[in-house]
Amino acid sequence: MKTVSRQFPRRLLSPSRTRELRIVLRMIRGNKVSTAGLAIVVCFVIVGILAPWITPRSLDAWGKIVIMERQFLPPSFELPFGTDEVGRDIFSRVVLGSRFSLIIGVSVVALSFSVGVPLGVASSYLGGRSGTLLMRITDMFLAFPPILIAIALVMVIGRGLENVILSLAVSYWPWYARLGFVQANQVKSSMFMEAAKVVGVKRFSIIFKHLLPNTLTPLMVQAALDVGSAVLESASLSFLGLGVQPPTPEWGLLASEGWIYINRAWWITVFPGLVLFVVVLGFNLLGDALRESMDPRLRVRTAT
Amino acid sequence: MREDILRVSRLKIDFQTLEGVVKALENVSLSVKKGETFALVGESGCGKSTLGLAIVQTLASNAVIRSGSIILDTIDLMKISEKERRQICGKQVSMIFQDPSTALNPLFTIGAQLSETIKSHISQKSKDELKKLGMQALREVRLPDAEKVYRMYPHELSGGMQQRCVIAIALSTRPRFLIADEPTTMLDVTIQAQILELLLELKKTIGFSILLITHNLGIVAETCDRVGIMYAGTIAEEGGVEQVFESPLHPYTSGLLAAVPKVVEKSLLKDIPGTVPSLIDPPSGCRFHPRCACVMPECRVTPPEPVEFDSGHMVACYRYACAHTKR
Amino acid sequence: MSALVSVVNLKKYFPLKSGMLDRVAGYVRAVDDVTLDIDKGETLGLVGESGSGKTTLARCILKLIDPTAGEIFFEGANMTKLDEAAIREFRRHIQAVFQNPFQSLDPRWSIADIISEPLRTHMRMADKEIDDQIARLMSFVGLGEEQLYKYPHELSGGQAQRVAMARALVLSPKLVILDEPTSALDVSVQAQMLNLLADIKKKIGLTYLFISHDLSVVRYISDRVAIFYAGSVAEIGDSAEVFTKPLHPYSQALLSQVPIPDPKIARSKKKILIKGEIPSLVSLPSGCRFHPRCPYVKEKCVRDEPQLANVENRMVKCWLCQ
Repeated sequence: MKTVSRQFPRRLLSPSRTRELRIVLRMIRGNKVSTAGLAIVVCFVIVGILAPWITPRSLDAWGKIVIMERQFLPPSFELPFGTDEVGRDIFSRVVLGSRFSLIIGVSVVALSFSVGVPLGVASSYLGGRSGTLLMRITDMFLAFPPILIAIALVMVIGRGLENVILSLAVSYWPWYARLGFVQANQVKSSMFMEAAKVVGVKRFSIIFKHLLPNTLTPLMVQAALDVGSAVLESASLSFLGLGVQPPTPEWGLLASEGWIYINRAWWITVFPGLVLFVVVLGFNLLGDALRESMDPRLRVRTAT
Repeated sequence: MREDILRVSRLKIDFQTLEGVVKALENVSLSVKKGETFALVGESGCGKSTLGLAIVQTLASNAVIRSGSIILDTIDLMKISEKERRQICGKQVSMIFQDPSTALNPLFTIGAQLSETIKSHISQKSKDELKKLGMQALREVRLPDAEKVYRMYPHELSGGMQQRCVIAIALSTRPRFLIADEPTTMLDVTIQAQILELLLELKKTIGFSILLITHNLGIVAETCDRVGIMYAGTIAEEGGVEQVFESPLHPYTSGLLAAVPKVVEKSLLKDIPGTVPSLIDPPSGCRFHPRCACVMPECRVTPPEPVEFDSGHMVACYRYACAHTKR
Repeated sequence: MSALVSVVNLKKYFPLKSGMLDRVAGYVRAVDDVTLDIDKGETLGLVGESGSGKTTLARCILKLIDPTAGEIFFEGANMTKLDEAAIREFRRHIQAVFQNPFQSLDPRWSIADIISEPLRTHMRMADKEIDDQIARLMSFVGLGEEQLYKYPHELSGGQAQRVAMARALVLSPKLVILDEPTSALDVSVQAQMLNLLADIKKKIGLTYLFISHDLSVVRYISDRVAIFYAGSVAEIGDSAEVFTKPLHPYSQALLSQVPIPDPKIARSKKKILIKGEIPSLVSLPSGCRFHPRCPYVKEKCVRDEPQLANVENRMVKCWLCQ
């Protein structure tokens, strides 16, 4: 007979969770706008993962050598986004760029989440002076606009892909610490925490088996959506010349490189910018839809 | 023979939810006579709150009224325009709910909320007159120091006092019909008794009828004239309180009465086996049949029609309809 | 002494902080000098309105909070101040069931995990043994084995509360504290639960501390009852006796106001309505804390606080009864 009870790891896709997912999906599909958001995000992720294999002209995407006859070609059927000053196919560059954006977005969020949330949760559970101290430090970071922290750090540690990820992660972690703190506070006072104490569960186990799982899930939704804002911020950094370096086809970088040619060949800067806009919009729309579907009050109940 | 102030006929309401269609009310009929206190009793999921909300037309947006009528005095609320409905309902029907702290706006004083209501339903009055009327309303609900309460904010008052304020606001328009949805559930026993006694007295002096929605059979026995027992969206039994309590006809009613502990004696509690059904996929025929000890073949097929047994005592159950026709 | 748990002069005051520097402005006297015993094998009912202190007392006994003063004994041993290891040991003997099972059961844990948690915490058992124990308990509380794979929100209120009960019983405790276990349940489900509780108690010989604001329920299930008012015990004694002939004025008023689901009795009954509200626990009245609302108040009641005294085979805290 298979063991009925088991402790960690808990089944991630329990029957009740799949049911929840189905309800959420149905809610999203019911609303055209949120479906669009979901579609955009899913496309982005798929393209980002498959980019190295589906980029039409990958050599083009990286090329540094100028090919005169292909310079500044306007958008056509063959070259949907036109070519840039070097003669590179911008469409290919954008497609390949999605991979970088995806990598940066996911890494930034993953890093800041895994550092910030445990810190926030720990300070909530510890409470007292140590908890308050941690939160004050977090507050100090939160007082700065995140992009400024990222810029300052990049100036110190230098540019490049890894440093962009690191700087952005450092600017993001306080938000997750704060979120973790607030969420943990809410969960902390739940009856099942008290019940666990009455059962005699050790403090450590209570934190890891009861407090954390209940705190994490709502935060993970936030994290998934933050990928969108991380993408936007890395693009901003690249646009300012503080992010990834050429010839990396990162969207922000593409937009900034094409900026000076805007009168002659507007497509060089506009298309990457447009794609960036659509992707971030998709994340925002999805975020709104998810938040609405998670709100228990909006789930229509039947009064009895 | 007293006239009816409210008559609900064959009301059928569904709710569209993500999980399916909830058949909340099925063929519900009841009538409240002028000046009486009618109790609507049932457990969770029976539809009593839905019925109350349907009468004041504040159902959720996903509610669909499939059929039936709600007649207030002589006007069918289903057949008139939205605007007319709001005017009539607002003036003639008031509703109070379970949690006074959410019924009162925390940002405004009691006085402000009172005047807001009085102003919207009674013709133009000066500020002083509004205040006078407001204070009178507060004194009516026997709040000590009405002047002080008038200027206070809801959170400064206890639960019992908040509920009195809610009642004052509800009665300030001098409605003809008051719906009270579990008005004392969140209050302590001693305060509960005070509030119920207050409601009954005001009913006599001001002269309105009460539809009291509750799950507490003790309150029903003590304060109400007639009672309707609801089960899973249907009315199982309706009649005078004494009639129903002493000679219950519907098996659910007798089951319910046997399951309620009494403080005056240690009687044996008999529970009703099974659980309340889901209203998305309710049982066929009589919704109580899966749990009924005396189920008959016809119970599984079609829902029983309400049959009037004795004067005013009505039951929707084949067992008793058969017994009735055999006489 | 046949007392399983003894509470002696227990006080729990919560400081009220105010102002920017969190100065202590006063104390909320949630439990104000309570002495009572829970005898082995009995069901002791604790009744009182909100703020009466009954839940705070239970939390002190459960060692969720530490008392401000006074002592708690378990099986004769003083357990007021214990170290962590001793507390964990003690938790095997005193368990609890709370009011709302959807809050007291972790919504992300399966039923099987919830019930097996106490076993895994306190004992080293093989998985197979744990499975057997869980299966045994499920049938004991009347739940089918297929429920083991479900999550709390997939169950009804009654079923979820049974799970809470199973969790409380899995370590074979001596005392189970039930804090409003049926208040969130429907009438018919409540009846099921109460009968189940009585059944279980008989089968395995438990002691219950049953806390409720619903006097009818307490009448049904308890052997002895303690009536709380504003943080202290007004009256305590045999259930049947207290309910048929309450001695303390508060008990009399309280009982007369409980609605009775029987029209004949209800309408002939005389209700003793007491004016006013429950006092603030920060500024309690002088002398007897019930005096401002008592219909029989005398001068002595305003001056001196009465003590629990033995009257007609029960304890009453009232000058007029002594």
